[in-house]
Amino acid sequence: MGDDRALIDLAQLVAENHQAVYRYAYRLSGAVPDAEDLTQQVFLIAQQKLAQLRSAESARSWLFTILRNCFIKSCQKKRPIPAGNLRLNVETIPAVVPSVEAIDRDRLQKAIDDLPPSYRVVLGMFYYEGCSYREIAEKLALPLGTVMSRLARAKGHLRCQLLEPDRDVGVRRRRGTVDLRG
Amino acid sequence: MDKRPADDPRILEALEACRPGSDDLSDPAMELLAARMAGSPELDGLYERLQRLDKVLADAYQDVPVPEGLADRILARLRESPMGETLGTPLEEAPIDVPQPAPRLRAGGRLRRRTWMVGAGILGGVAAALLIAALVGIHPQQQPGWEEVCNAAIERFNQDLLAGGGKLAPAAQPDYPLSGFLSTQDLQVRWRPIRDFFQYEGVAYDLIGPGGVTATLYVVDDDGKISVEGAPPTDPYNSGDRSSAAWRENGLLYVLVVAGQVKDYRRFIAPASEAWT
Repeated sequence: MGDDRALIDLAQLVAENHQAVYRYAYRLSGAVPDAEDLTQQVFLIAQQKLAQLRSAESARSWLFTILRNCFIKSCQKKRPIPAGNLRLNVETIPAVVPSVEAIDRDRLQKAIDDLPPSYRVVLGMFYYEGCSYREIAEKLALPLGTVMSRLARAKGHLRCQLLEPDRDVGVRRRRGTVDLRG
Repeated sequence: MDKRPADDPRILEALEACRPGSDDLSDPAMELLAARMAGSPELDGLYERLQRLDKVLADAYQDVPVPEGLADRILARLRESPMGETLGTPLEEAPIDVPQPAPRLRAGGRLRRRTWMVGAGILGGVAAALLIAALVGIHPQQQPGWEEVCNAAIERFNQDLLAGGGKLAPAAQPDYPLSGFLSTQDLQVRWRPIRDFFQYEGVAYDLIGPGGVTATLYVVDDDGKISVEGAPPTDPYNSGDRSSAAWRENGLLYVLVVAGQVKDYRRFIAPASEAWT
């Protein structure tokens, strides 16, 4: 829409999206300085390519795409666990679901940091962007089966780190927490 | 030798791929999962629990604190980039009689002399005014209210921050004095003329307060047409990382935008002023 394009303004783009981009960047990179660097990069690229943005409505999705690309390119291999070690695991789905307050945010981040970057991206697109597995496959140009496999294994790993009963649990033990054994 | 549905990798991957609260289960590719669920209360229960758990994890995933001042740092960096030069005119250093001169942005931002860009700055200002007018839906007969003024001022502030605010005037402008409600303690001030604030002329005072918090005070003569009265309030209008308030003094419209939250806004307002009664 030509009218929409006229309304797209960089300062407004920053004001409206910097928090969402930063949060996503933090989950992907796992560190505050890295997340801020990534966020800055995203808006620098957005500044250069603003003409590519077709409408104000798609701005956030466009910024997220830039972010994912920046993340993948800048990824310093942080000892991710081998993808082969990730397994399907529904045993870690607890009988009683914990409240969101009960999830230990640091442990959640550590679990994400363990994952290979390609798995982190798929997980972020699922949990943060709310993309369907089809959308993830289209945006990343991956086969559907690859996306489903990565997603399932990444989620299984997250639950394993956060919820597995035998671990030093990643669920905060306070009111609202649960019997994880069911 | 019946294989339990929950042991089938295809079923498990399909189960994991369904977003919470979505209709992903009706996707043709999920037919197998849907069929198995219909015949398996165990699988059905697993699906329900995973849906609820994924909602919790998605919420936790999104819960990340954002560092203060991030937007300002991004805008400052954008301004310093080669592309930033084309977006607006950085402030020029200029002699100012009163008040005390201070840099518009954070220390380290280079101040450049580019007189040819003044024209671009003016065009940018006109474009910003049109944008503001479009955003708040202002018509000549319909003047904005308090919140609209504050919101538009925040938009203007963001524009100015990126553009550097335009060229400074060489001398103080007595027609648009600083507000008597401002706390002058540790306050650094520079000013520049504006001609397009809701189509009215006036002055923008760029302020740096205690702790390096930045703000801009817009002062225009609107002939009392904008429906803003009284002193600055205790609680400003808030949008994102910006706090704003509008008031009237000696017939002039004053709109303050602070790069920060309520506590930052209050640093700019004199506590003994009428605003706090």
